[in-house]
Parts: sequence; C-alpha cells; structure tokens
Amino acid sequence: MSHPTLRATSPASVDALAATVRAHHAAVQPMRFIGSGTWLQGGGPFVDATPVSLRGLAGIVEYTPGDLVITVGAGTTMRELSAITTEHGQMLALTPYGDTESTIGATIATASAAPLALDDLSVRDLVLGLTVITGTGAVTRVGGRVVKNVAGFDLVRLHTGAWGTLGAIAEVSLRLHAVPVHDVVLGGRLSAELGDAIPPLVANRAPIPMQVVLEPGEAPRLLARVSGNLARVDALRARLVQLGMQNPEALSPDDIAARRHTPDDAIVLRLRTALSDAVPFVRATRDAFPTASLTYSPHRGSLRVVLPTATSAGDAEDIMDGVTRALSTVARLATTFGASHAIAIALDQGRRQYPARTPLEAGIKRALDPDDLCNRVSAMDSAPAPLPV
Amino acid sequence: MLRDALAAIVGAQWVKERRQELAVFDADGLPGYRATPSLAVLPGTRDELIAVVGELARTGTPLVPRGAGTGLSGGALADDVVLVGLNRLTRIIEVDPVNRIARVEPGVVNAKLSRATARYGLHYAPDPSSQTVCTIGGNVAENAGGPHCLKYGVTLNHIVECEVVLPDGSVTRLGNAFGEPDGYDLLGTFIGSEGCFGIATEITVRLVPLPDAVHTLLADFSSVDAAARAVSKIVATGIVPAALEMMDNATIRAVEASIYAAGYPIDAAAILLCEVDGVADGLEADVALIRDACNDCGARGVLVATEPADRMRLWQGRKKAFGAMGRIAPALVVQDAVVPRTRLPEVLARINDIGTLHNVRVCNVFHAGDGNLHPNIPYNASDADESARVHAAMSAIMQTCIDVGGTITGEHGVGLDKLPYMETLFDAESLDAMCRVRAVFDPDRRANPGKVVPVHACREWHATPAVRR
Repeated sequence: MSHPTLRATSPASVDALAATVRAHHAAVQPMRFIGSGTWLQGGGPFVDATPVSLRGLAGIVEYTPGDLVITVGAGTTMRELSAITTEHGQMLALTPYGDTESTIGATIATASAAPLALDDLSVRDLVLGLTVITGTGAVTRVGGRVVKNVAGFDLVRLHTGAWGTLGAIAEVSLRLHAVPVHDVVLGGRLSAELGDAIPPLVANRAPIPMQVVLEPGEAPRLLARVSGNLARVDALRARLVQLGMQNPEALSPDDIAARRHTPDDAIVLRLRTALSDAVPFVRATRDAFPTASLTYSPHRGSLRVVLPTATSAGDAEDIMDGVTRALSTVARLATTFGASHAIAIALDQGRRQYPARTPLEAGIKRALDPDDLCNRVSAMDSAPAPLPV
Repeated sequence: MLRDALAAIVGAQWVKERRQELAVFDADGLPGYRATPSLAVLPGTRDELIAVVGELARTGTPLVPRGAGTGLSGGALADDVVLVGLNRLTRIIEVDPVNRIARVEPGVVNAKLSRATARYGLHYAPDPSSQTVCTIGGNVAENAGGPHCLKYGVTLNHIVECEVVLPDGSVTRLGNAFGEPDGYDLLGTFIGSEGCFGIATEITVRLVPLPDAVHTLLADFSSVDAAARAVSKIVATGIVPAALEMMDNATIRAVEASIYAAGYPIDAAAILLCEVDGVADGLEADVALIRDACNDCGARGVLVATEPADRMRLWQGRKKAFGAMGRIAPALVVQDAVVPRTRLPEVLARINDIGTLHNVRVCNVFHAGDGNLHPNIPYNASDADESARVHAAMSAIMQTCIDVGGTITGEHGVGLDKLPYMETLFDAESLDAMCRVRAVFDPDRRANPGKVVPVHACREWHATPAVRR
C-alpha cells in the first residue's frame, strides 16, 4: 500500500507531534527533526527526510523557582530559557557552542559540549527528565522533575546525545542553579610555550573550568571561569596567575558569545585524549591542522578543532579529504572522535560509530525506532574514504 | 548438572547449595523481604565470572547478581534462581593519579577505594551510608547516591567505563576511560539498571581531588517546618553545599542513645547537617551566609566544626542512623522517595499525619538538599497487625510523594520493594519503552528477573524460563 508523501510540519503540542510521528510511521516515511536549524551539518549526514520542526514546542511547562527545576518545551531557545530563569536569579549552567537561538531540545539531542560551564557541568549532568515521541509515535515520559531519581531504567541518558535517532524530544526538565554572587570569565595570554603551559593546567586541582585557545600564529591564550563569593573569586584569580595566565581580564558577554559562535558550515572535530598525553596530542593536532582554531580543555582532555569554512562543494571535498589524512596522524593518541559533516562517517568506518553500530546500539535503535524513521543516517557510499586507524 | 559445571569453573567450595550456606543470602539490607537462591556461585576472578555467566546462558538459567547485599530495595534477592556473588572480586587493578581514574573489580568496597587513593590527594566521591561495606559494583547497579552527591553527583557522574558481561555471556565495553564517546550513552543506561542488563566485570571510576578545606555546620531547630524552610533558603543563596542533611527528633534520640552518639541536641525537633568544601578562601563567607539563612528561619543555634575529629563525629551520627534505629525495634523499613524541595515542609507534615493515622513511628533522616526523603519505620516484623499498619503507612507516604510531583526512589532503586509503584509513576508506553530497552541487553529476561519493571507492563512479555539445576 502506498502512502501520500507527508509534508513538512511544525507541531505545537506534544499530542500534535505524536500524531505527526504516527502518520510518518504509518507511511514509513523518514523524518528529520529540526530545532531552530542553526547547525544542521552538526552531526553525521542525515538522509533526505520530511522536516519536522520542533520550534513550535516552546515555552514553560512548569517552573517553581524554589525547586531550581524547570520544564519547558524542547523548542524553547537558549535565549528564551535564559530570559525566563534570569528573572529569578537562576540559570541553566550550560554555555553550549552555537547560537543562542538554538533550542534546548537540540542541545540535549546532540549533548552539546559546554565550554566553561559552571563547575564544568555537562548537558548530561543537568537533564532530569524528557518527554520523547519514539519512532512509532509512542509518547514516553522518562526521568522526572526532581533532582535525584533512579526509578526505572535510565532512558534520559539514552536519548541525551542520540541526535534524535531514537525519537523526537518534546519536553525537557532541567536542573537549574542560582546565579553565583560573582561569576566572570577571565582571559589572558599564557606565559609559557605549549609544552610547559599545559602540564600545570592539567594538574591543577582547583575547581576552575578552563580552556586553552590556540589560534594560528598566536600565543596560547587561557580562558577560565571563576565564580563564588568575592574572596573565592580573588583567590581563584591569583591561582590562575600562578598557572601562567598573564594579566587576567574579564571577557565581555560579547567576547564570550563570539567564542561560542560556530559558523553554520564550519567543520568541527571533537577529539579527546588521556590527560597524560595532552602535550603531544595538542602539538600533533596543531601540526596536522595548521590553519585550524584549536580549543583544549585541560580537565576534560577534549580538543575542539574548527576548520576554515568551505566556500564551494569542491572546497568541501578537498577539506574533508585533507582532514581524513591529517587525522590519521593524531589518531594514535586520540581516545574518542566526533565530527560534523560526513567526516563522521569516515571516522566511523575506521572506528566503530554509527551507522555501523555495535549490536547493542543497533538493538536500541530497533527497540525505539524499529523502522529507522527518526533522523536516519545516510548510507556510507556518499562518504569519503575511511580513516586508516 | 549445573552445579557441577559451575564448580568446574570456580571450584566446588565456591558453589553453595546447602540451606545453611544459602541463608546468608536470604535478605538484603531491607528486612521484610526474604528469598532463597537455588544455589549461589562466587567467582574469584573476572574470567571465572564471565565463564559462570556464559554457563548460565548456555543452560538458560536465570541469575541474580549481588555485591555486599546492603541494598535497600530487595533488588539482590534471588528467589529460587542462581545468585552470582561478586564480593570475591576485590582487586583495585590500577590507580592512575595523572588521569584521575581508577580501575577496579566490582567487589571493591566503596570506602576502601577512597582510602587507597587518598595518598594521591584524590577520592571517589559517591558515599552511600553503607560505604564501609557496600561495593562499587553494587553502587553501579543501583546508581547509588549518598550525602555528598548534592555537590558531587551520584554514581552515574563518576563512572567512565565498564567492561560488562551481558546475560548471554558476551563481553563488551561501555563508555571510555578517557572521554565520552559519541553515540548512544550505553554506559549511562547500564548504570542503575539493577543487574537487569548484565554484570560489570571491571569498572573505571573518576577520582576527584580532595578539597583544600571542609567546614561542617550543625543547625538545630525547634520545628521540622523551620528546618525544611532553611533548606530552600540555603540552596537559594547560590552556594552548593557538599551535603545538606536533615534528621528529625525521633532519629536524633535514637542516635544519641546509641554508641554512635554525636552530640546532637536531643530536644531539637530537627537538625540540619550542612557541609561546605573546596578552596579555603571564601569558605568562611559561605559558612556565614548559611548560618544567616538558618538563623533567619529560626535556628536555635548553629555550630561549626572544622577539625576532622569533630566533623567525623557529627557525620558518624548521620551515617549510622539506620543502625541506631535498631535500638527502637527489631525490624526497620527504609523508604526512599524524592520530592520537589519546596514541597518538603508540607510532605514532612503529611508523613507525620500518616504515622499518627496508622499508629506507627516514623523517623526521618534524609538528603534534604536533594529533597530525597528516607522515612523509616522501626517495627516488630513478627507482629502481623503492626506489619500491616507499617505497610499501609509506607504506601500512603509513597503516594503522597508521587502526588506532589516526586518520584519513588532517589538512590535505593526499585528492586522488589518499589515495583508496585512503577505503574503509578509511569504510564504504559513509558514502561513499555523500558521493557524494550531491557530486551536489548537481555532478550530472555534472565538477569534479575521480576525486578524494576512489572513484567505485565511489557507488551511483548514472555515468561522467564524455569530454573534448571
């Protein structure tokens, strides 16, 4: 039996979204879930599919400030969320890369990196509960709206970072934090060259979220977030000077926003290594990608590589081929890879990521999206050559 | 015979099947549930464990993994199925202070790990009250919490990689010791799966630097309501205490009458234990702010301990409170629910009313900063009438917590004890999704059968295979 092609939709309620998914399930028609559409190249390449916008699912579902918990529609943007919580002296302790117009649903679906987040918290630390429409249109409510919860199997963790491949996130419950009395991002050049500068940062024990920024042809720069009462902020600033930060200066909100901005078509690689391999790894990556912007997080061991934006399809292919070759020189030291664009596919063939899933991953996909309709990842044949690892 | 096959793997002395040998496995930390395994097998190495699970898979035999048996949900009880004990797997395989991780076998005792890493200025942060006995493997299975999880997070936040033997006997690695891999968070899904998804054979934990300084406050209140309001006020300051615990008068009296006496004021209606830690600079200012918050809510006094011995004494009373309740009655039912923090005053009042209504004595000792309640009822389990009243009171308390938007367990797990509440908390489609995910890890549902999700909630349910000896 053939079904009419379903058109792009923008459901405005959980029920409407469930009805949309059920219609696609009945028609066996793939869907592409989209938040604000600010970074559609962010993950592995998805097949052409009917766009289902989740932006209509915006706004507060429940918010009791005293509980430091908020439930909102997944289409709520980070800017809107911030406006709501700031009114009550609270915040979502995340500062993910990307546009403030990106949605909280997409931030969770992609488990976006959160540089300089308060207390180095990550998305997975802050999501308490989700309403998710699975690939069959079932409305599932997982987790809860309280800050601690082990009732049942943890499907919240499963959906967080699943890139919408297990269903559409419709509503989210989040843990909030009170805005600290003082909360500032400091920036300054590092006094030592890379090999001497990084080890003390890695060994640092003070709770300071930090990033080392390495722009081509520039001296390394350290960014750090210090927060708390005045005595603590002063002490942490002094600690940063001991760690090699020269002339720490507070970054303006515009500076911070600029650091988080990623051009829509930029190619981004997310690499990690053991802390003990930090120096050779960062050096090898710099050598492999001399024109890239690098950001290293000393506590997490993560390295973000932003490559120059392609100006044409031909450029894009050249860049991807170059990336694939260059990555092989650092693969020895990297423990995990992630990447935007089709580069993910090349990496996956060498490693083990999707679409060549492990049996468990494939089983999870079949369990929640048996017909592979949710954010279906494209076939391998469109991908560049596999990475030789 | 299965017994012989298992004995060939682990040695005959590590397969227990006589009634008197199995009696030790009849209960976990929650009196009130008893079940006897058909036999117990105690592997002594990773390879033995994998071979045991493989043999159970080959013969289609259901199994229940068990750490130290300190769980509080009946989750580690094996009812006429094979129990796989993990407490011989006690090796700390590696401590890597540079990368701040440690690799351990599942039977390593929680507190022992922190003792072993202290020389590097590091510790394993999750600290269940049973930490001197409970195992890391059990903590992983239950996603255990503890007082200091308010600031440092629960077990989930401190496990970076596990090697797991799945119920079919295959071995896989979940997570990555050096960073979150892309792809589905199978490690996060495995943690807290209460032994239904397999057994961790090796666990890599994240270690956290010991704080430069620690201050512990004891605030005493003349009403539970005032103490509960102080909790919200402290959290609203923006300070995230390392721990924020509450004890009511019944608990205080039990502790002070026991060998764990900590010097708590026995005439207080409630006390708060609040700990702040971290960089020494600024800690005094945090203490002052918390003291003000307590005083604003009517605290009769606030004592601050900074010396390790004084702080240990204050914590001893809290951590041993469950044990101290043994003085009140021979049995104790321990509950574990979470409510929105702002609802604490009304929920605590309602719990008091429920206790009065059912003529049972409720003792509250709990993680107030998380809204994680532990209403405990000491009782005589041999008194059928009292047991029935305790059961009715507990059901009413759990329903109250659900009604205010809370959940049925914050750290103890569902096990058997919370199973009846799962269908109140979750709708059929959500439970079915859990069943589907469970079936990925364990299609035959042989691992810890009959726990966590009611079997009839699984739409494609099929019966657990019969026990085969």
